[in-house]
Amino acid sequence: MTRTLHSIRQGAAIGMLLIGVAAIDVHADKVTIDATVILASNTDGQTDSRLSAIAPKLKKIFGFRSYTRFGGGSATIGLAGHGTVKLGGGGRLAIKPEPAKAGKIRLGLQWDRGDATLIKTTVVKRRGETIILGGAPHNGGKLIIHIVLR
Amino acid sequence: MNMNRKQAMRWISRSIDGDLAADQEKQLAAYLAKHPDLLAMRDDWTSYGDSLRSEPVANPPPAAAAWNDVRREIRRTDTPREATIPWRATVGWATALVVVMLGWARFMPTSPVSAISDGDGSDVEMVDTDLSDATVMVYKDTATDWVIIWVEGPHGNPSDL
Repeated sequence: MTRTLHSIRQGAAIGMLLIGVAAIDVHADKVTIDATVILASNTDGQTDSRLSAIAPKLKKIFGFRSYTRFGGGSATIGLAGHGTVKLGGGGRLAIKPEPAKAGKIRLGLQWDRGDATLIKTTVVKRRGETIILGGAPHNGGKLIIHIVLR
Repeated sequence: MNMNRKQAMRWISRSIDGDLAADQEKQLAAYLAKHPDLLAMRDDWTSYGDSLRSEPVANPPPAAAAWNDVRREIRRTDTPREATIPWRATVGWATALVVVMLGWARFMPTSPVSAISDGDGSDVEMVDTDLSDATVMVYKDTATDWVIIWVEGPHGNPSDL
């Protein structure tokens, strides 16, 4: 009987340890969202030097001839909180992060322009990963939001 | 042939076993006639053999029954270890599992089941747009690992919003 109680205590200790690890992982941090709005078009062959880090990837994926920084911003938001990034040109990105499984973050994103919601989505991502929202027409090109979760 | 006592005893044994040739039997008989103690010994050995052969022989159990006996004996000797130690370990791990599940329910937020998955570890759970007749495409670029959500108008070139 004593050994059985000892086993129960050991099991409870292991369980509490695992919960502690999970709780730390879930509640420890805030998230920072870096959103860069890019106007992609085929009317001008030059690419904005501020986009040099991502321009090759944009060209490879989308095939437009030029990419110009249109706007953007950053927001640091507590998990289970919400925030907004002004994108420029009347656009805004509403953000609602939540903890998700396996250290990921469930990110509610809503891209509004004027009274219209262009894209409303929920994605589950890890820190450091990139999400692209795009396709809204503007001045003969397309607007692309390059979003990095940190 | 000059038989000595030692050889006579060997031949007595072979005689009882029926291994002696006829002329050897004659030589042994002649020797025993001169040595009554050896003759008595041969009669005793013969008597012992007859007695043993007359004893009833117990039938051995069938092989299958014998193996069952062996297995039963193994189980009997192993019972204390199997019955107590794994059970105790199971209690410990079951307790750990219950505690983890209770903790999980306490700390983890409820979440909807994934509606859309790109099948590569990044989940897009929901996508919507207010644009009428627009199409929303979701895909992942494997080279950059970017998840791309793209809204496209009904004619591919809608006017500015």
